[in-house]
Amino acid sequence: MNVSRRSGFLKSPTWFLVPVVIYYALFWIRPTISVIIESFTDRSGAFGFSNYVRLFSQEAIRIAFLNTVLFTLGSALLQFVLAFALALWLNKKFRFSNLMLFITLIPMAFPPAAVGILWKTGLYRFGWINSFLCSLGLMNPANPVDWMSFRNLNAIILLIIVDTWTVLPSVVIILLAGLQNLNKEYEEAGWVFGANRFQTIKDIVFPIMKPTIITAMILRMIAAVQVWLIAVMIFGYNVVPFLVERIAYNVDVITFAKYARKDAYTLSVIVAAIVLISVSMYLRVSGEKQKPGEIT
Amino acid sequence: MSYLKLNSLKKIYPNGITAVKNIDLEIEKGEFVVLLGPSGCGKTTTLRMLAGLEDVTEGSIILDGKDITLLPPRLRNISMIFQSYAVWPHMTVAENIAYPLKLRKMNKQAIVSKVQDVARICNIADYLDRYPAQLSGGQRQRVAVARAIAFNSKLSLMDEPLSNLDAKLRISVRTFLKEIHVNTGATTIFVTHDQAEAMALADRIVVMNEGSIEQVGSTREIYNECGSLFTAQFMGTPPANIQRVVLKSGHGRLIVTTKNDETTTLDLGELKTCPDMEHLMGKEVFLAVRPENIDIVTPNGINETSIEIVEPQGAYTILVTHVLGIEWKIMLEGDVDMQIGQKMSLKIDPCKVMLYDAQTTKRIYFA
Amino acid sequence: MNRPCKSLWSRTIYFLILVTIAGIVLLPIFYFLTISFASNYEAYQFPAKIFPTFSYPARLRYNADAENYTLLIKKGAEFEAIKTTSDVLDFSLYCKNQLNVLISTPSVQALFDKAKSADTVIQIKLKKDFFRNYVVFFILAEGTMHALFNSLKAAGWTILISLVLGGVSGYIMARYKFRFNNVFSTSLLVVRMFPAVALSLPLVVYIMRMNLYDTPFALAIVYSVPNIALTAWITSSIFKGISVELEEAAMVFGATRLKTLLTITFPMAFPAIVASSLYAFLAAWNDSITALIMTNNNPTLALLVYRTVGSSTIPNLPAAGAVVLLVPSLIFTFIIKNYINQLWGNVAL
Repeated sequence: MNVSRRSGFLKSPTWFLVPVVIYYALFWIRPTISVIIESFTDRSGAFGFSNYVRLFSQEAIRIAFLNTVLFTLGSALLQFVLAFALALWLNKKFRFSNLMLFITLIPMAFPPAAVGILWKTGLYRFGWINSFLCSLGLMNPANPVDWMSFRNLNAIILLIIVDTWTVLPSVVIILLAGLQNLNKEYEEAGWVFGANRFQTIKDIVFPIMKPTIITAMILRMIAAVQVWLIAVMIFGYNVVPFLVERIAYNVDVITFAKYARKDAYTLSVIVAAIVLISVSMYLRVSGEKQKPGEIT
Repeated sequence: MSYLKLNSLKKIYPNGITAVKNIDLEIEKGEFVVLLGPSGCGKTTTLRMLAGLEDVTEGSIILDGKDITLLPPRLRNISMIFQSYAVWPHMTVAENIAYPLKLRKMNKQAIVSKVQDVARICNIADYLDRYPAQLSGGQRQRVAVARAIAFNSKLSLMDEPLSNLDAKLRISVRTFLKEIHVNTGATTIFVTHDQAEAMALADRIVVMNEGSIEQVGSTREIYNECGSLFTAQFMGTPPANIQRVVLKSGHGRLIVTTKNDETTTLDLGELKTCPDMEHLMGKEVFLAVRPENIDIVTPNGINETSIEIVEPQGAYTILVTHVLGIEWKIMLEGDVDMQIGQKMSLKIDPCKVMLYDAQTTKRIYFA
Repeated sequence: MNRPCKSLWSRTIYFLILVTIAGIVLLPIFYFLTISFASNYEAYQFPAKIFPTFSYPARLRYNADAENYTLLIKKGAEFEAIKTTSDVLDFSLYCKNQLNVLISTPSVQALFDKAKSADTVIQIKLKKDFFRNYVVFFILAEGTMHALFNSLKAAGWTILISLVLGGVSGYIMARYKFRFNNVFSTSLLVVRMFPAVALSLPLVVYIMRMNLYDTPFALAIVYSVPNIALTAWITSSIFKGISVELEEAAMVFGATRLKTLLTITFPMAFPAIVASSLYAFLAAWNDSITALIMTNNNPTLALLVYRTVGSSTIPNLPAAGAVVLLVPSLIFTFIIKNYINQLWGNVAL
């Protein structure tokens, strides 16, 4: 249906989009521009990179950057491998596959704050992780491991595991949908012409699934880059810095410090830039096909 | 010892549905066998059991002396052309043809030359570097054929490969497939629901219905000597005229009439030209007369009726009239100049009609 | 591919994988739920239990020499002495605060008398007030109910704004071709993914100027930014699936455009509207970072739960709060789950 010419200019339906455009101008374009400008002006109003320079001169920020990269790549890798395997398995539609899908979906429904509490109650010395290991006989009750004392790489690995527990189902769903859209005859042709199970997955299923996998991973990484809540809830501020964790720190803890506001603004611009680059990669890979956003 | 033997094949799905009831079939090496039947008759299921893509509930499959019933598809040495062609979208045409050969660990040079050969045969040599998305449906289908030929397996399976092509392409590809078969001599099992396709391609046709075999035979046998009412109904375009009648004789002629209206009769010709039919008098049968076996003569008192519809088809003409209370079609060669309402007499050759027992629907043979 | 007979071996492996995965998912949840029902005393026990208890097998002993009473709770095979007192009120308060057991002072007195008159230790069963943690967290603690209402208000506003602005946009995108269609839909995608952090920080200033700082409505404004886009995406894809001719038929038979929309189009798009509302609800309900930035004394429930982690050392009360935070999220996610599967393939409902 084309824009109606007879009803006249005023009745043109495009006018109905005006409120939305105004909304976005006010609450998206204006703040975005303002935060970008703020990140490029120092406290005295002069334009320049001083905020960025100061940020990267701080060791905590450099570590935060590194941690974010490690966490993002590590979690993406682990989640891809597990999700792909799980999706291949669940695609077989064996007797309990629907039930399994339902069960693995449960963590996906947890709000991040609830996830934080759930794992915190598990990770402290007398938490349920140690309780479970003790009941299996794998740990001495007199000498429980203090998971929350982990630092650096170990801490990041711990967070990757917690994150995987939470988000794996959402990746599985995307991959599963992709697998189900895959014409079964492609695989069957593989079997007929001599490929065994492994060769079929390697040479046929995986290459065809590549676009779906890449888009799923990019979506995952966009979320991973913004990790902060579980890190803070489990370890507290400053222990394992991440980009958004630093922002929260500046906002919540050192709110009135001299550079708190500027740092928070500049960091958020950096995060936004990373996300936007990922989104443009996503757009390139997925073409016009868009998938709805994740829940987390 | 036949090349391919299907012994009492049965397929029952976990939900209880029996797709294939009992298939016994023997196929010679180099034969082109067509499994023909309506949707749901079990032909595709049988083919997939042959391929190893469906489990066999009961029975066995012996290929060239080897029992392959429990083997996975890749160990059976078969090739298959799928209904959707299943040409892998992420590989070029050349890679598609080469992949099965690579799996066989053929050497690279041999693969390259083989790919060139079959591409030439199938007329896709110009597309070797293209991806399937860049090809038309017909071209993709030829890639699937090329891939199967290159594989050079013991058994070649085809699952309705022509269904997704438009009418014109279907005819030309049909001829192409027959040429390939003549040249390669590969034992082929072909599944279709299109009887014209089946008749054109097959050495033998296996007519299937509701999971069982109705009849096996050459095209001629299947068409003219239909062993069951189902086959008679299924084969032929336009389909045979079929009616439930009672056999009578009168004045030395074979007459049939409907049960509830004894006055309307159809004269099938002189009794003496038909073999011994005395014992069938009074019997209720299904009568099947093919439209091309009915002749038109100027009204002579026998089987007088009038033309209701004329359907010219260029090479032949179809006339529609009412016989024994229902609509019958008559097929005449060429362009026939007839008017609606014109009176005519029908002349039927009694040796060309088919009679089926009203209860068992099995063919009643005269001899 | 079907193998003729699934061997017992492969079936066992399948089963083991099934159980392991189910265990990995469910075990932490069970522990977590149990902790949310655990009294302070139970929270200190190690190893922790996986299933909650409803009562304590206990003993009460009268100590003649000190003229007081000792409460013993069963721990493993033995009974552990945990409280010794002679004061009825002291005992009652201890039971309430540490054991989640509500027992009135007269009842305590009765137990004391019974223990005194008996020769040996008496067996008593202390029944837990099972939901005590929840009561404490929500009713007795300050601000929790308030936070819950803040979350609900923010969610409600988000749903309203998203549906109105997003639904209209979705409809127009579906029905009308206009020049900026592609730009519009791409920018909707960008907006959906944009990190809320980068938006919330500058918006605080504007919100303060509008006198809306620290209100659920302000939160809804931020939450709606990506959600309007998401709603527009979901609804446009549904509206495209609803044939224009259905609307034209209504208008031919006399309905105005507005009436057509209300009586024909929107009812048919109902599943999409439900799905969009649920997404909007979850965006508001689950968020912590925007609430952190834009509220002070009026936190949302998610933010409040986050904050409790620092303050208390035993996890049982925060766990109870987390469970309440969890329940609506769980319910709504599962309702959406069906829509997710259908939306992934770009198939209209």
